[in-house]
Amino acid sequence: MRSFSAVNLQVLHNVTMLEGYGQCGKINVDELYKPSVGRLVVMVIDALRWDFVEGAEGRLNMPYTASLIDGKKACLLTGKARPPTVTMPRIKAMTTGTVPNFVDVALNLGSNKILEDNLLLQARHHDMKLIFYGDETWLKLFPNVFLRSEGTTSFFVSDFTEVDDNVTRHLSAELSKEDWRLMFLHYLGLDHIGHVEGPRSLLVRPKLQEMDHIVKRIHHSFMAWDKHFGFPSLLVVCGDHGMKNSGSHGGASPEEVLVPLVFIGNVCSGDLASGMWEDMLTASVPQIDLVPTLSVLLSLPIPTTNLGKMIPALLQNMPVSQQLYALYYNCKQVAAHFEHNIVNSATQASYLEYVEAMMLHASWLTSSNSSKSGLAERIARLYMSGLTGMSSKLADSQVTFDMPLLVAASGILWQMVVILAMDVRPRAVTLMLTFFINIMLLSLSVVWCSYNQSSSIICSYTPITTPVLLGVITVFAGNVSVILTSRFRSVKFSQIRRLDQGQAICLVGTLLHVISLSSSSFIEEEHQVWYFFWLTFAIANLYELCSVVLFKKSSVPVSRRHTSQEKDKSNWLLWNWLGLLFLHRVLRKWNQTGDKWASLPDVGDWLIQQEQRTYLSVVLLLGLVAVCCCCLCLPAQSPGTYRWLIEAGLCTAAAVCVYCYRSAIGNVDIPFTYPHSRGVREVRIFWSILILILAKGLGESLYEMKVKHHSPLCVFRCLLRTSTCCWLLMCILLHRPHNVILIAAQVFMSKCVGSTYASHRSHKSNIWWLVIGHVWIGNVVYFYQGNSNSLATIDIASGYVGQTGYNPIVVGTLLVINTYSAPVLSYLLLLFWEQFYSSHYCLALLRLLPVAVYVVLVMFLRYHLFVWTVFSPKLLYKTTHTLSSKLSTLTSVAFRLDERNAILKRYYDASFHELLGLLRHQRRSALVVVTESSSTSSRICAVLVPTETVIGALFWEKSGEQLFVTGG
Amino acid sequence: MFQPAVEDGQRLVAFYSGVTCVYLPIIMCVLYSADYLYSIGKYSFSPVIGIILVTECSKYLIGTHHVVRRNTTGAGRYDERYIIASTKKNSTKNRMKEGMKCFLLIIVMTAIYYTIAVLFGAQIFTKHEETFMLSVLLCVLTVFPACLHMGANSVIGLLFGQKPSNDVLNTLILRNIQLTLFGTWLGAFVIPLDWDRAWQEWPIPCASGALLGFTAANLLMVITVVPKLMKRNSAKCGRKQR
Repeated sequence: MRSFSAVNLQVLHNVTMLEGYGQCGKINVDELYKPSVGRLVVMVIDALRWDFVEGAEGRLNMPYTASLIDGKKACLLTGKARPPTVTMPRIKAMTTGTVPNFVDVALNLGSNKILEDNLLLQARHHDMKLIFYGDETWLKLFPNVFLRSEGTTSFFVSDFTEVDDNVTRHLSAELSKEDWRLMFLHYLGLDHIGHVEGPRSLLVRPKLQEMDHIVKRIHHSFMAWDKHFGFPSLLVVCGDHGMKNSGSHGGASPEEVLVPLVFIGNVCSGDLASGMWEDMLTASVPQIDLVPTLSVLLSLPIPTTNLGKMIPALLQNMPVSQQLYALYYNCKQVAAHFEHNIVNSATQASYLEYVEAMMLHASWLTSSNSSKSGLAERIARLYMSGLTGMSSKLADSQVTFDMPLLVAASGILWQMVVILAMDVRPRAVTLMLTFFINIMLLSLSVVWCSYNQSSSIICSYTPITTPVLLGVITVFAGNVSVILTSRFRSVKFSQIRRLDQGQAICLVGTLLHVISLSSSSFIEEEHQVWYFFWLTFAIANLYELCSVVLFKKSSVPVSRRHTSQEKDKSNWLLWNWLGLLFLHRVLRKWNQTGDKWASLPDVGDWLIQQEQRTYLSVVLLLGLVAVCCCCLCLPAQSPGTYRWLIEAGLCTAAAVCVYCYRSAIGNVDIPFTYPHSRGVREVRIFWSILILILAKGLGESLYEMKVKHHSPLCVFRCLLRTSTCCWLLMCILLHRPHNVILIAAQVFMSKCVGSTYASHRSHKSNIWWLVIGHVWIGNVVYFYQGNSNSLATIDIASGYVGQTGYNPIVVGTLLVINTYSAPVLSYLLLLFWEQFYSSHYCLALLRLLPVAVYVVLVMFLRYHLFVWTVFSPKLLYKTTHTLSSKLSTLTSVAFRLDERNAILKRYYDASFHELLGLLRHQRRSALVVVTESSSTSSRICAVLVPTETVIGALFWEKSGEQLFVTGG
Repeated sequence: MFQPAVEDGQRLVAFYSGVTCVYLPIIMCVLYSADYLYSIGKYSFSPVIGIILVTECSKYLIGTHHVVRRNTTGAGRYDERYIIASTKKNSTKNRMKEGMKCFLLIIVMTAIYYTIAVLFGAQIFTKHEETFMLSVLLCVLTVFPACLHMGANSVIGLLFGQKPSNDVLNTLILRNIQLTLFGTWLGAFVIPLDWDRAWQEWPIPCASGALLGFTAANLLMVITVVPKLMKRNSAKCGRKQR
């Protein structure tokens, strides 16, 4: 561990401030910079949001704390957390005073040691004893810092009491001990309640009262401590982030960002409204400001990385000279960063204020007493406003962009799009060409780097980055040569002009969606776009069917026109589509998502309430039955009653397991008394059933292949059926109980689209129609489920279904399965209707085109106000989405020998470049991202490979065989 | 016989579209300057819809009686072949029947538009007034003129995708319907934007989209028809002079 303290101390003791101005007076730093707080207790309550503590609500929730605030023994300030509002980055901000960026969200699950200078490290170096109880993350961030500590794992979300009891049980012993100076407590229970039940849960108030009781206990022991240490003690109660009305967090809405900061102790007991700070006291306090403030109060060196500024309210009780010195010190330290990081720093207004304040300060020190008070106030104000300006400017400019890498990544992404749109026929000449282009690019990059002296990764030839650079260049060159030697797919404009309505809508919709990505509100409200397109698509189909039924308009060729059966089918389809429309209207209210209207009441919220448990049970039961039916109704290759019975039995057993699990953890009612359990057993039984089903499917297909000598395609369909069945069952386990019914709805939607396609096959020979239909279904259901482009909507609880401990790989896998269940399911369902190779092309192009456009857009919008809150989470989502869909496609296509080379390369390239796209955003922690993203991808691999390699293996067998088996 | 019919049709369409291109923008400008556009979804907007109705009617009357010359061979007007009544002589009873049919059709279409708006996401339990006014406006712009010119049966046929005969008036009506609906559809895109403007309220963007779409359709027709008419006229003049 690097130590910064030496540097800091030097700053503190050797530099007398007035040297530079030549008016030297002797400054006794020890006099000016001395502790004003003895013992410090920092109590972090996870997800404590502002309105839990403030006002009338606060008096009910935390009566003791409220009485302290009213009695001027404590002060309540509004803290402001920067997004991402997730625990780990927030802890980092509160201890180092830096602004962690978005990559830290990805790292939130596996937190690493903090290498930067921080408050805790400084305290330890100055022989203060620290103790810690609470969230394990702290121990990972600060290993070997605490004298005594115990971590509780934050990842078992459904546990509301034990996490907190594990913290509190140490309290009585520690309160009476005298060896420690700083105590950190981190309570997780409230966050867990929020994740599972939301902020309006009945459990919130008792939990807050419990917290209040702890505050009371700590405050009561202040008296003894004050005597022992000779300085007043201080208790800081704060939330690390808030929570949305839906209970989760991660975004930038006021509910998530605003947190209370309560300072209890004599330091803050003065009358807030008086003194020289008056107007600055009511403003909200950025979370990073805690760092310099606490450092000053404890007379520790301010951590070098700090960008925060003093909280004026806490300086009030100090003598003026001390206040000014503290401000000067803070200012000087921030100004050093400012000079280093900001262009033209010396001419910025805030910097000039700082310089002026310094000069006035110098003259103040030498001047006589008479004029001092007025001047002091002016100096303090100047310091403060200078600090504020510099601090906020620094916080905003923390991120640097690696433009060369950025351009390279998006360039390759676009190459992929072009190649996908081309008819590729690799030839021998490409190898030579690739080689030459390779060398050319390499030399170009070297020349460019040496000429420009860029600080990009591309130009730093370290052992780790050189392979990356070489890889990038090789891929780039390979793509160029492929593009040069092949030609575009022939698209005739007459074809485009003769599109029918459905196809036109598909085309316009795809383009409009791509355009809509440039607007932050359309990203926040992406579900609206998809709902809108999906409904347009459905209405256009309905309209067409109507005209067929009403006017016998020929939509099929003359040869097989209108037998009565055909007409019946049309009628049936018509009703199906009509039902689909109304189903959509209901389901879009199922989970309100997005940003603007997310807080409106929806069906899901209503069902989750405790009073509506009976209805929830009914809905879950309906959903389970429907999904079981779907499983059994998947088109089977060789039907047989015996087999069917086995399958029905297994599916029912799995569904029963899910229901029992839900009732065991208290989500739904069960009519008879059920033995007490935590639901782990049920889930284990469920998994074993799933394995049975998988084994049965495998055995069946082996039997068909080896004994009956069916064609590989039959075997493929058999396996597809098994894997779809498994996927469906996995989804019903992981989805929230009220969302289970959505899976059945998705199967129904796919059936409507597929059978329309099948019945009009000759007419709509265009495969795009089917593929786009399924992609849209996937997206629509994804949003029905309550997902959005904010990190806050990831349903963390689903990662812990049936888990007793925290295993990052398992939890991550389950989370990815739950979140992306809809797109993957719609891909599987698409395979039922069409296994043509070209459908994969369509799919890949459809997936890649928006991504490529989006990457370029984000590149241009990188200084946009919302880049961290809106655009980069979307990028993360898109990357994971593409990775998961790519991997599922990849595995099912990869083993086909004939087109194998081309397609493999494309998919790998595509995924690789999306990773690059992610990577360029966080240059500072680029390497971390690489490892992180590789672990992400391996996680997804783990999910998809078992189900999908099966399919892939079959494709291998199929190569050279007939492909023309129709869906339906 | 054929030639004059085509010319009549073109002249009629030019007249209709020309008038629409003038009066609708004027109405919209007046509404805009009077800040009345925001009440587009309120019942208080009905006078404006009334004005549109009256103008469409008078357009039809003037068009059929004055713009198109009476055919000397018979008393028929250019577009009367669509009206079933005319085949069985213009008895009042048949006219009444036809009128009732149109009226019913308009009501049914209003209901359908309302349903579609709700399906697209308009609130079910609130904002009835707004959604209703939008569907009425759409009906007035699409179904009503079509009914005037073609009669209910042909309109139903047209609405459900029967290929219209290759006729200028038909094209006008079809294009009117298509572009009006497309404008409404496109208008909905601004609703989710987070600009918090008054004009983003439901159904203002959709209704204005419909009006704009309607105007655009007419403008398009003027642009395509007028040059043809001019050409023909000049050719005629040339012939006369010679």
